[in-house]
Amino acid sequence: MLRKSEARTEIAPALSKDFVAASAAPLILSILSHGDSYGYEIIRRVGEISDGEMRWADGMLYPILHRLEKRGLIESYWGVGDGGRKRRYYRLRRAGLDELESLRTSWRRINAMLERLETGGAHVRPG
Amino acid sequence: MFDLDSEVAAWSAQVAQRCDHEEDIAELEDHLRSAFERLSAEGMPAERAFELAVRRMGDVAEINAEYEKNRSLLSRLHGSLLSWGRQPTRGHSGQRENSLAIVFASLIIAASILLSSADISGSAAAGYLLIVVVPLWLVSRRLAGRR
Repeated sequence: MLRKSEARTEIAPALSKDFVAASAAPLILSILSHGDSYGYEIIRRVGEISDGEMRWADGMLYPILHRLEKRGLIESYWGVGDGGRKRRYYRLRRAGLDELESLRTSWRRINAMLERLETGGAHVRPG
Repeated sequence: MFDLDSEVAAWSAQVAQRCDHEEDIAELEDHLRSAFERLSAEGMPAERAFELAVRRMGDVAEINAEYEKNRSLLSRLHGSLLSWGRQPTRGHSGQRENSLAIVFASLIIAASILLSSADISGSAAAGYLLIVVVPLWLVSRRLAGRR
């Protein structure tokens, strides 16, 4: 039997790769909107809020963070972590907050569209 | 006997092929160590905890590919030339040399266009120098490394 921590590593994505990739930026920006954080903590937070369904390969988070920084949405600085180790922290910038708002709006729109289709509010007649 | 420092160093050496910034490596190492510490604190034996932390980091080739996307064209070219120089020349050497010939030809053509389209100003001459000298310097390094 697998231990709880081992079970988490099993690759059984509840969300598709494309979905995970598309949601990375809003999730990261949203986590940082609650305060500065660092990679390991961001990964843990995503695991928590998704009940373990959203599994990123840990190493893939960093290039994404760096791209967000390059776009001016977040900024990084070096500090000292719990164990006295050098640690890179990330902070949301004003442009990142705006981008987060815009992404939230987009996701809400898509969600509303799906719900309308689900409840039969947007029938399209064939022909 | 399990030695965390040397295990971490061995892992980073693989990533360092594409992610050549010391700070980026330090960031990844901090993550690996944090994951290891957490698993150890949960009672997992050191070797098993490290193995799992490495698995969670993901495939090194994929991480390298993601870092590669963030690099500028020039640093990608530089990285490719260096890694080409580091690889043994057996196997696909013919194909590799063809690709390199294309890269050099493109650079020389680019330099010619640069020079023909304008007066040879100081900056154009400097550009030409960079375009020709940098690849030559890289090749000379590779040849020196072969001996």
